[in-house]
Amino acid sequence: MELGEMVEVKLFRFDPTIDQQPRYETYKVPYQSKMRILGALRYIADELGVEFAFRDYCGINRCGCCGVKVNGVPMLACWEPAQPKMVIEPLDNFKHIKDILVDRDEFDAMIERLNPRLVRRKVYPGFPEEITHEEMLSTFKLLDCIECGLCTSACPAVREVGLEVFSGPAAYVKLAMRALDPRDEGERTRTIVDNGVFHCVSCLNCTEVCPQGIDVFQDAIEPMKRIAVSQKAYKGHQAFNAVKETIKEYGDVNPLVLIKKVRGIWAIKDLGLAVKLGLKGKLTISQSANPGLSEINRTIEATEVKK
Amino acid sequence: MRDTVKSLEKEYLQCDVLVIGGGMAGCYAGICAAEKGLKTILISKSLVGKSGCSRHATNVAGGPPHMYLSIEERRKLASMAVKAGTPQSKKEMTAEQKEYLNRTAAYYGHYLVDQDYLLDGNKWAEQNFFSYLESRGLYFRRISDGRVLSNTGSAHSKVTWAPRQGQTGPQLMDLLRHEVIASETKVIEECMAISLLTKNGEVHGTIALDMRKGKLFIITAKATLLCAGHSANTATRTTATREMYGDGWWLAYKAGAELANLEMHYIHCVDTKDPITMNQHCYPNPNPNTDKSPHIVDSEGEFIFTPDMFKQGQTVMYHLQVKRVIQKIFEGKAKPDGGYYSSYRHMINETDAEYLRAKRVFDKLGYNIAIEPIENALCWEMCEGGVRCDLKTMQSSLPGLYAPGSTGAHGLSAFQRCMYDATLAVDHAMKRCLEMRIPSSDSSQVVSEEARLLGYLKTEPKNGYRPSIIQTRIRKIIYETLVPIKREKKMKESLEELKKIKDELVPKMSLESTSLNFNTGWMNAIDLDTMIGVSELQILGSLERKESRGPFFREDYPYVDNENWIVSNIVKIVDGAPKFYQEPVELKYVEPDEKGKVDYFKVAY
Repeated sequence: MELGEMVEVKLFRFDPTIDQQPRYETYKVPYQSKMRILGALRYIADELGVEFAFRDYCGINRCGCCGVKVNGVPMLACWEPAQPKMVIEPLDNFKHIKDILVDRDEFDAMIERLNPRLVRRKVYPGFPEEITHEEMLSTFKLLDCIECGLCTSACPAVREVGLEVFSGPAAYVKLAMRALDPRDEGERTRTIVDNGVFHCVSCLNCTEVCPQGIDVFQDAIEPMKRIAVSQKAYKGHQAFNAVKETIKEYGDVNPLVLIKKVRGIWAIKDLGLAVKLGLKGKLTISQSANPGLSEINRTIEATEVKK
Repeated sequence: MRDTVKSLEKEYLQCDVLVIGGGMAGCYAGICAAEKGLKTILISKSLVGKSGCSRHATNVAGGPPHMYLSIEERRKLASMAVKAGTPQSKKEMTAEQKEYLNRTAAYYGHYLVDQDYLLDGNKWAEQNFFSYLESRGLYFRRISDGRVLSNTGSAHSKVTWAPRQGQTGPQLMDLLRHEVIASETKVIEECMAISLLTKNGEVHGTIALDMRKGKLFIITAKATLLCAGHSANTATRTTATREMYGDGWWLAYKAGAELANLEMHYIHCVDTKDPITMNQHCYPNPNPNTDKSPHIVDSEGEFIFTPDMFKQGQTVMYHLQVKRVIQKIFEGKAKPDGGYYSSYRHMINETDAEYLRAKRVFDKLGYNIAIEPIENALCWEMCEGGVRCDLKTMQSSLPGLYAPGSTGAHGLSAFQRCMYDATLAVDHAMKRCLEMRIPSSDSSQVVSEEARLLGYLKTEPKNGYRPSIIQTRIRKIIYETLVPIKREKKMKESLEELKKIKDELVPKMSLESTSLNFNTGWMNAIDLDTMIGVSELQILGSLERKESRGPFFREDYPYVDNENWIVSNIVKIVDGAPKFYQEPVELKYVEPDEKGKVDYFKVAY
């Protein structure tokens, strides 16, 4: 946008303690150089005197409090550029307080429930302890998290099952930050499984919205799933391992082998289904190994959880 | 619309220690007090650890010298002795301590800070600060051989990061947030202290407003720790977070405590000009892992900070930056709010997002730093002054009230100092707690404060001024008056203008609604009272100091006056009005060479 142009903001207004229903108010804001969404919101508050409820502290992607939904996408108002037309609404998957302000209590409780603190059992040796950057790499990728909650807000699994069942990607980032830290000696496996990480549908929304550029799915959620499976702490671990073994063996998902591995003798119950699948060509009796098998195995090895 | 609110719901709480503020000092005080078994409540105006000035701090200075050795080298050296204790006289001071004092007392304190306090705090920090944080999981950035990364990896430049330059505050405060939440301390967030409870000249707790419910907390405590920060959102450009208006100062001042050196406030010289909502600091020091620094140039492309200014500790001291920019403003080659630049063109390879948080900001803002410079502007930053304390106990001039961290008047705070202060305050508060019972609250004070708050809670849809619009006007006044050049005439005009705002606009203030549910306008109205009060005190303090020193520059007194002004510039309320007086500062170990009046621009402190 250029100086002198006007930004049009449609702001969600709703005070549940006095209003019957939500409304949208429209404001025109003159564009300023390098303007962020926050610039428009502050103009509405400071120059137009509109008293909407909102958390606005640092202005520079440090506090993680100004998350809002802009034209349907969760983002930090301080961080993303102002757009010519913006509909600004409160974040999804949070309880609403007023206007574009949400209740963070449940979200914060999830982070606490997963224990975001380093657990040491050995005596701390004193500063500086003997660690190298290479040893810290897995956790280093997650240190940027400022607990803004955008990932949890964008998560369809959270929307479906609720935070009580799946604590959400943000809480798992904080957990992974500790679980992957070579210094951590906490018992994390039970926590990983009990807080619903397997509800994650691998949609990558979390990664996409992270204002810190954390690959939430790849660097936090996936390693946590892997730990749970490798520790056989997750009752679905058989299926996970079966898929992995089949791929290791054939370089592909071999449905017959997979069924045998997961269901064992009880696969016989599904004979009817197997026949149907067979007729449609979905089940082949023999399957040759993928020509890129060794490459695939190298990839699998490279992605194993390392701490 | 509901009827006019006639009274507010009240909840009475009691505790041994009440902490007001959730930054570094507040969180650590909450943690320490709980560890000592004291019944502790911490209230925070916003979210604990997420707001306030600590979140903005970007580097950590100091640390034991062996942190710059590789793991192998450290193993060889069993341990390196930490410095000796506080010296008794000038003769016993080690060269290292002298160097430290010269750096802090002179450059960062301009000889206005107690030198024993500096030494004791430094010693405490070396032994406790890094080890506490690392033991709790903070990651100070290492390189492959296990060395802690610094500007150039050399032992001379004692600045480190967790884990990137520019990112330490969020890392550290998230850690402390979780530590204090896990402690026994009761944490109440989004709860704003309205005034201190006082009785017979002692402080007995606070009256606070729960912003989510519009409910009053009346919290009585044996000891009250004010940890509300220093910088204030009272100027157009500021590094303060948006909820900060110098609340700690105003609470203490109204209760009758002594404040000192409010005029000594720092200015960030090289923050990005645009967008105005975001102040990214363009660090005038070598980037991490390199020995190259950005070029800071004026409107004609001449260096503002010349290469020789980078020698001292490899970073250009803040007050020296201010001096240079002021000279450039006089030459017409820079303006307070723009017209000078930071350039990274010569060091694009040294600008790595892995080490440098700022790089991500520049990228996000669409600055191509390989070809274009970044326009800078002056930004109101932290303060050296504040609530005057006994520096062994952190107790203010009012018994029961403590001001650890940057709310206090004990010089420029850093993380380490905030933590040290917190331990002092908690230690002394503990003694006090053992000696007394929980005081009772004075109901007349609650009645008058409730009436004041309800007085703001009114709407007049057609007439009246919104508090936020008045606030915006004050921010402009303060920025023009105090950043960075102070002139008597302008300051007096601004005082007049503030008085006019107070007399004419404030009584006509009205809000959008009288809702008790997170009523932003109501909070603005309460903040406005603080904002006007703090702004007046800062202007009055600036008028009082008739010299220039450190970051403080008066055009009408452009000299450092060591004969008359190595003093604490103290103010307290007497018969409802501010009364200023000065007390000399003892120069116990190091003192300036210059005795009389010297050109402000020619001295290095």
